[in-house]
Amino acid sequence: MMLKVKNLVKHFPIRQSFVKTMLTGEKKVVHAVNNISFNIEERQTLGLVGESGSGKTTTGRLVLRLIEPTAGSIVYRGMDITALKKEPLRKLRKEIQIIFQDPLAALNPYMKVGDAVRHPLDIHGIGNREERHDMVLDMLSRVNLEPASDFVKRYPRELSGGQRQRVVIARALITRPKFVVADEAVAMLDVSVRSQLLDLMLKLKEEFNLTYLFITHDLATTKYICDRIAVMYLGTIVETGSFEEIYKDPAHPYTKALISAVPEPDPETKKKKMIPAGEVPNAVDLPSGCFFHPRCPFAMDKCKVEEPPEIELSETRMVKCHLFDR
Amino acid sequence: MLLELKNLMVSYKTREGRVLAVDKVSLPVEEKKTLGLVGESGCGKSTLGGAILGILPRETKITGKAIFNGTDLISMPSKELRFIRGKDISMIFQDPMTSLNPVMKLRDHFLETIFTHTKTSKEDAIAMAEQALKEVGISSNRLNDYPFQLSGGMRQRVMIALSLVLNPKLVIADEPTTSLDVIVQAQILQLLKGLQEKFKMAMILITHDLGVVAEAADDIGVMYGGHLVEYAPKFKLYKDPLHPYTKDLLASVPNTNIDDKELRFITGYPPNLMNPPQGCRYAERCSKAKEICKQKIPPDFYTDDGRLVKCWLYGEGEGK
Repeated sequence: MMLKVKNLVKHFPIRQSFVKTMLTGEKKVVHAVNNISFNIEERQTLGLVGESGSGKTTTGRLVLRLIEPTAGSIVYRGMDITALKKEPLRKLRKEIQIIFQDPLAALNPYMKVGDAVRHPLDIHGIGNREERHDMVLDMLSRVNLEPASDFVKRYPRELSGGQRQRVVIARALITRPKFVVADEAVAMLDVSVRSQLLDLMLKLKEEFNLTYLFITHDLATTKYICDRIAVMYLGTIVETGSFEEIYKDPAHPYTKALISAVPEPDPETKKKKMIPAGEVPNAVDLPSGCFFHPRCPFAMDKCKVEEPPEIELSETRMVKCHLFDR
Repeated sequence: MLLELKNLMVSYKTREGRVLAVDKVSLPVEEKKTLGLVGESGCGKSTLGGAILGILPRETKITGKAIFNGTDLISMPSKELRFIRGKDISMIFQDPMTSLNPVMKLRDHFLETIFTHTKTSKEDAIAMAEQALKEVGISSNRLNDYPFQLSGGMRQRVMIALSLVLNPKLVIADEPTTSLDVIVQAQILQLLKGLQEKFKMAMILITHDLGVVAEAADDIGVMYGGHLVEYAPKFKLYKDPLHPYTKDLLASVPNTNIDDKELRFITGYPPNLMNPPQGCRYAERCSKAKEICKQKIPPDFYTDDGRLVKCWLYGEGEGK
C-alpha cells in the first residue's frame, strides 16, 4: 500500500476579534476536510474529483504534509508520517512530490529552466555538479523538451503553457519520487495540449513506477489516467469506485451531476443534463445532515437531519447517500 | 446579417518584429445567432474579437472591414466607436476577477456603463442594474458588494449582467467559462443561451473547447495560425469535419464514452506567427499534407452547401 489516509480532518480557523470570541464563546472555522479515508495502492492512480471548495487541494497538501492536519492519520508505505519531525520529513520530500496547477506561478520567472529543474537536487544534495547537469538534461528530454541543452538556458516566459507545465513535471520528478500529487496539472491548458500532457504523465508513470494522486474538477480527464476515483463534496468523499463503475453507473446524485455537466463534443448527443442550482455552500456553517441536500433533487426528509453512512455497494464501491440506505 | 467581417487582417508590432495574428478572415454573424470561434491559444481568436471592438493596443495595424449594421467599425474614428462599444456591442471576458474593478462596488460598475451611454436618472439606472442582476439570478442587495465578495461563478454572472444592461445587439464572449468548474460552466452556458433567446441578441462565443460550442453555438468557425480554416453550421461541422485540423482537434476533446480510452492529440506546436510558414499554417502537423501545402497558402474553398474550408485537399486541379 502506497498511501493510507484515515479519518483525516482539516479545519482552518477564521480570524475574528477577541471580543467576539469572548461574547459568542465560539471560534469559527472553515471545515475544509471533514473526516475522509482513502487508500492508494502502489502504482495506481487515484483521481480526486470535485469543484472549487470541495477540499480536494487541501487533501493533496495534507498528504504531503505541506499543511498540518487537525486530526486523522496519513500512513505512507507503512510509515505513519502524520507527526513526522522536520528533518525526516525533509528527507521524505524526495519521495513525495507535487505538480502544481499554474506553471507560471509555480516557476520563478528569474530562474532559467535548467536551474529550476536542478533546484531539488541542490536542496537534497544529490550528485556533484556534472552529475546534476546530466540529470537535468536527461529529465528534460524525458518530458520531451528537446533539444534539452537549449531549453536549460531559457526563461519560463519564453515557453508556451504546455512547455512550462513540462518543466514543472521535470522538476517534480528529478528526485525520482515514488508518489506524486498532481493538483489540476492540466486544467489551465488548451484541450489539445491537455491530452499531450496526460499522455506524458502516463508514459512517465510507467518509466518511473509512479503512484499518482490526480486532483481535478473535470471527470472527463480522469478516464484516461485514473484507476480509481473518489468524488469529493464540501470536504467529504461522497463516492468511490473504479472509474468504469462510476462512469457507467454513477450512484451519488452529485456524481451524476458532475458527469452530466461535461460538455460533449457532439451536438447530437441527447445527454440528460442534471445541473444542480446554486453553488457549493461555504464551509464555515456546514449544512445539516447530508451536505449535498440543499442542492439535491432527490433529497428526502431524512437527508436534512441525518448524515448518511458510508454504504458499500460492492467490494470496490462506496457511496455516502441515504438513497442506498436500506 | 448583423456583422460581416471582410478580409480582416490584424498585425501586432513586437520587439522582435511584426506578428500577423489574424490573416484575411471573412465571416458572417447572423442576427440572433451564436457564432462559435474555436482554436488553440495563439490562433488569433481573441485578437479577432478585440479588433471588432477596437480595444487592441494602439500600434496594432488593422485592415479589412467589419460591417456592423451597415457601418464599418474598422475605419470608424475611435470617438464614434465609443458610442457603440458597451452599448450595441458588449464584451464578456474570460477572467471576471481581472475585468471587474476590485475597488468599485457592483453598483458603480453598472452606473458607469449606463451613464456613459444614456441620459438616465440615478434611480432609473439603479433599477436597470437591479433588473439585470435579477436576470442572471443574483439578488439586488448584492449591488453594494465588491467583486472580491463574490464567488467565481457569481462574478461571471455579474459580467454577463453588465454586458446586457443596455440591451446590446451583439455580445462577444471571450472564453466566458474557461476559468470555471464544470457545473458552474454548465450553469453559465445555460444562462447565456436563455438570455440570448430572451433578448434576441447575437453572440460570438470564443473558446478553445469544441465541447462548449457544441451545445451553445449555431455556426462554428475554426481558426488556426491566424487563418479561418473552416466555417460551417454546427451540425455539419461535427458530423463531417472537412479540414484535417478540425478533425484532429475534434478527436482530442475528452468525452465521457467509457469504451473510448485512447488519448488522441496533435503532435508538435502551432506555428510561430512572427515567422509563419510559407504554405498552409497546418501543413507541418497535418497527416495529409502534400507538396503544395508547404508551398502555397490554400485559398478559401466553398463546398456546394456553402461551407468554407481552407485546405488544398478540397481544391481544384493542382490541389488534387
